[in-house]
Amino acid sequence: MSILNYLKERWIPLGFLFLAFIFSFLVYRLDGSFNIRESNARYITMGWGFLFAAFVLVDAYTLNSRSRKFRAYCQNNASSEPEDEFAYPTDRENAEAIRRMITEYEKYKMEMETRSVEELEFITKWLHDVKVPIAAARLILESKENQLPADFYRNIYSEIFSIEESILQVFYELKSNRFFDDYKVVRTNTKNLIAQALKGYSNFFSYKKLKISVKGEECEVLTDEKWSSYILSQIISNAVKYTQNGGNIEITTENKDGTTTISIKNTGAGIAEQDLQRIFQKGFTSSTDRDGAKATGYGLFLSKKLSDLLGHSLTAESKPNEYAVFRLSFITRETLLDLNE
Amino acid sequence: MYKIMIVEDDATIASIMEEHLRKWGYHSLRLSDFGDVTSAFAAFEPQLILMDINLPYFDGFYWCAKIREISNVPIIFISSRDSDSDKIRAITQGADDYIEKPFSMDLLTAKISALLRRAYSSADQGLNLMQHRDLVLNVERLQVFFKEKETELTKNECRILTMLVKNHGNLVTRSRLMQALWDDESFIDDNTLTVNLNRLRRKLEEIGLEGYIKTVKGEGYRLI
Repeated sequence: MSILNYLKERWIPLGFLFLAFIFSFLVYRLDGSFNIRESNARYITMGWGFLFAAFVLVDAYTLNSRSRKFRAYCQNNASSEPEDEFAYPTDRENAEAIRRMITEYEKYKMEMETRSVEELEFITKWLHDVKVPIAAARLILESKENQLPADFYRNIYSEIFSIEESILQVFYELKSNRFFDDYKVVRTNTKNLIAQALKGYSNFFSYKKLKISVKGEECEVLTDEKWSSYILSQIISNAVKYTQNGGNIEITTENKDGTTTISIKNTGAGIAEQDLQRIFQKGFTSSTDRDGAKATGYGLFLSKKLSDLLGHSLTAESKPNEYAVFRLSFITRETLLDLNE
Repeated sequence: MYKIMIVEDDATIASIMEEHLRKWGYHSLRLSDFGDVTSAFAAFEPQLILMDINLPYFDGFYWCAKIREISNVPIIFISSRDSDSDKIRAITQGADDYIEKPFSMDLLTAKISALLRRAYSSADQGLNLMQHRDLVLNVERLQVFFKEKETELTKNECRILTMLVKNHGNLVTRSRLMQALWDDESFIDDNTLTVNLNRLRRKLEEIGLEGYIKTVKGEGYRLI
């Protein structure tokens, strides 16, 4: 406790003591008949000064140790220590109040934690449960493909597919909040990641007669396979949505100065300049495209979040009415893994 | 005929799988009692098992381990659980493959025939061969035989012909063909599919199979 803080804390007693001294001094000075030998007066003043100094020292010391003890009590979460240890009644009362508060808080925290764990368990279980009827619906549909009118099949297929996509989104959002429990960085190659991400979208390429080209070298990267291929699939999903029928989707892999980049470029309306900064924001939907109202604005936000967590970079570039391109970059760093090999 | 046991408690999915496997020439058994999978296994003696994880009484991991005590039969897990830990657990309990729900039947049958080929090929070479009328297709060597003539196919052409032969008599849509090729990680688009199909047709014509693949305009293809 600094001197300034001590003075602030104790200004009333110190002030009154000082006033008492001034008062005695004035009485001594103003009363002519007050008779005392000068040596005695000096003696009293010295004694008074000595006692005052002693008081300040003792008081400062006690105050300091009291507050230190109190702080320690609070830091130890109070509940574990009995407040009987406090000699001063005010300290004891304050300690009791704090203990009650902390106990309340701990109880509340526990409740919240249990609730969130229960909710997470429920949602996870629900996600698995709901996948079963969806899988069944998809199988029924596929097994009747030949008996159904083509556009009916397509429409239902697309709807089922978007339900599946939404479910995956919930799944990855939940995981992204518990990122450090569940990720596994391995050395993998980009061809594998692209293949994982593309699978499942074949029908949309077929329906919309989109052209696809997968170009460039195969590079080794360090990443979590599932997460990065999910990021890529989100970008592909977007690209498929926003490319005009008969358009072009081009996936290129290149390695430059130790950084591997997978670019996904699609022809079409592209992204308006004023939107480009905001596409990775939560809930953002295109300002020009009214179809965008159907989008949740969550896919790219989640992709960005996941790629940030993994330490990759995700950027977008566009020339309106010509193309849009998304780039996922893996920065290759010297790691312990390199040293082992 | 290969026997396949389906251990899946969702009746809809199980019956679709049974129906589909029957069409593809497998004899399958759908379990209805999940209390004792091991004795059902011993009674039916399947060459392959399709196993769900979430089952009444005990889960798929348990039954997989139980069956592994008595047999090396190939087991494919089919489950809605998609975490790495579940997959790792399945594999360590002795599973041969793991398919996530939702899945496509084409992928499942491809995996089944690959596993059967690997597990039993020494005993039965015929598995690599497919036949439709007088056409014989060797899937492994990418060769087609018709009467005394033969020709070589590319991987994509072979995959397309396989799909058509397996679904002979039925229409196979372009999107279905594309999906099958994409499952094999051959990412071709609509134009390339047309090119592949035309090349396949020309090769079949060369060995005397003219007009073998019929186009259903705007929809797909069918073997005549």
